[in-house]
Amino acid sequence: MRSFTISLTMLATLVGGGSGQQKTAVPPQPQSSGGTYYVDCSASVNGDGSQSSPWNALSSPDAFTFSAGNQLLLKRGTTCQGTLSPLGSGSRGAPIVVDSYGVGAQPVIDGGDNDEAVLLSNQQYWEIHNLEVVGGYQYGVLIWGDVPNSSLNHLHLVNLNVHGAHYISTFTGDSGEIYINPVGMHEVVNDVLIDGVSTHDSHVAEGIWVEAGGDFNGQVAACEQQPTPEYDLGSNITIQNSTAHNVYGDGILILAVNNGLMQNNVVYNTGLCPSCVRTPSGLWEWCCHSCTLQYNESYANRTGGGLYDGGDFDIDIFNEHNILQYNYGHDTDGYCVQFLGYDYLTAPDKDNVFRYNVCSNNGRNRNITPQGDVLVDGYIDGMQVYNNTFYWNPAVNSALFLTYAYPGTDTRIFKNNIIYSAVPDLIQTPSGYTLDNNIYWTISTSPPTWQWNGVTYTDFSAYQSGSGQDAHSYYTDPMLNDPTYHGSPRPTTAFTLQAGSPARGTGANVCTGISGCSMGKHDFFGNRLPNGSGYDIGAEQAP
Amino acid sequence: MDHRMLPVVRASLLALCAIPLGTIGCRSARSADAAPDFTLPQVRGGIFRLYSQPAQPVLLAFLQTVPDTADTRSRSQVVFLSSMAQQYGPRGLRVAVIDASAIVSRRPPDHAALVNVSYDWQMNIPLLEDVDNQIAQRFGVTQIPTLVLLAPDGRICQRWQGSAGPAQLAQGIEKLLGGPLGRLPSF
Repeated sequence: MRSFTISLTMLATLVGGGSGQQKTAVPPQPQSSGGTYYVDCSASVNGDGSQSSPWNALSSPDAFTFSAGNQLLLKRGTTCQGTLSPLGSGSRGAPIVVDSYGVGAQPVIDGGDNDEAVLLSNQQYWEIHNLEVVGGYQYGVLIWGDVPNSSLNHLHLVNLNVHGAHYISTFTGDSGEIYINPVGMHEVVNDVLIDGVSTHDSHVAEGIWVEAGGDFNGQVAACEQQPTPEYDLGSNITIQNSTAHNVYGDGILILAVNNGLMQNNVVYNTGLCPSCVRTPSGLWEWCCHSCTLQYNESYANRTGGGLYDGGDFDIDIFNEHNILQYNYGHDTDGYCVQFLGYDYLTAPDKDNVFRYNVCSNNGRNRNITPQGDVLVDGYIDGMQVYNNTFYWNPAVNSALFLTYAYPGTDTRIFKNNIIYSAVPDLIQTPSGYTLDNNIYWTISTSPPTWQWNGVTYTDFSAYQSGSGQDAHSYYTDPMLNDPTYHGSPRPTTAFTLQAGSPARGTGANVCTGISGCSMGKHDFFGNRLPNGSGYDIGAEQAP
Repeated sequence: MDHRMLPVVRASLLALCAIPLGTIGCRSARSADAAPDFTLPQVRGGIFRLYSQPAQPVLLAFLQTVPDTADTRSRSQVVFLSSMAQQYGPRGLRVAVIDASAIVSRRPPDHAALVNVSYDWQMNIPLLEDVDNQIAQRFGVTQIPTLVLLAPDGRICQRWQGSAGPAQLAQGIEKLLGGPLGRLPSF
């Protein structure tokens, strides 16, 4: 769930009306060649910013206002103490670039106990490349703004290693290693790229937090409006090839986004706060419209004393038309995926899709195992869960597919999935969902159970006839290769279909009768999907 | 002379592009159609030799060390290669990246830039410097990325023209290593 937080820097700015930057040193007048400025914090004398006479402390670039197309280069193999908070903004096609020069290990910015190690306030068209960022108190890298009815554009963070902020988080969103957060009324950020960024080993709340939309009216987020005013969502937010691990709260979280992409990320060991009552998850989205999460791995996410979440992937509240595909979630405290709608009828989660994913060995914390592996809760108007493979081995017996009843007219389906379970409880759902073409199997010695609309069945045929569901489904061994694999990295041969598997060719075209629906081009393993018929059940379309 | 400027080709100048693509018999003893041995400098020090003792399978990736574009997906390819090294290294697979930027740029790679890339991409696999594209040419590389999987005896078992996903890579590797991945300890 969303919360609002404010740093000491933000507070100082909001109260004082200033830029949030406190400057004390007066550096020499910069001399640059072609707008490129140099910092070598190992130099004994503070220079003029040229390559032959570089600045030797962050106070110098922090006191300088950079212009469009400028570069600020830090020498590799050196460490600068303090906060890097240069001034100015670039322009479209001419961003200001912070990068490195020389040869060797990335230059280090050690933020110490300053609020942030790197700070951009009300600035745009910046790119920050190839730095190691250590410490800072509440944030490693903080980018924020507070100008109402404005936008901050083109913020690119590439190849950063950000870790070790000192703050000890107490609630969601109160701190982070990478933290992008406009707070002005109707303020948004657009064109954010986070690529090859590693965030880790910190007691702050968030590995990577990108809140692309600011406040709506000071009390209620734009996303709580129905319909959501799209101008209050930031757009084109991409996070890829990045990692988040060993943090106290969430791994990677994007909020208030239109057109977001999270791919090729690996998140693990999140939610490590030992005593926080909170709701962390590995990779999740809040108020994302038309977002895609794909090829990610999320595992070993914890709840830190809380009784909810601790999941791999969370389609949280106010999300619309999102696709989660080709992801691998495993060995986590809570669920593999959650569809969570809000509790009243003004803003449902709408038409989100979870397909061709592999979920293995989740539900490891017995206190929250009853969330299941696929949890559908709140006001959900349309959801599709199809062609996934689950190895369900929770700490205590609990249904894998757990749903609650809420109104809504759009399609709600659970089809073409393989459930290979170590416990007898398989589903627990009210009416209102369409289940079909699934393969269920338990290796438990107890009889399997399907709980549909309050009635528990232990015989598959009785369940089919009593519920009218799963008419084309099977209770049989799906004949998977290595069906209990739950290691890292993502499976490559585990969960594939053996020759003679009953999953081969017995799936449905789930798009039949659904306007605008496509099952995509390929399966979890990269095999092409057939055209219109001949689908397999589960995450593999056997070649 | 700086040794890193001179990749040394130690074996015959075999025209490797004549070797059939796709999976072929890879387990026979070393034969005339094996890839020629070579040594190349690793950008952060040390030498990579194709043929090791004892003999091991090798996954070579010819990449361009620039950020991903729609046409050149080298950065994300390194993510997948690191995963392969982590997953199959314990079973003997060696993974190396050969900078083949000059295939595209027509300029020799900048050594300092390659050193920096190895840090910036947090690479846990060797990055090799093929200054004059000699090795890329011997492997018939005409586009980037190109990946080549070699058996311990040097035969090319599989070749991917363009980027390859983890599952595609692993299927070839599994076929070569013979057997499914072992499980990690249970939680």
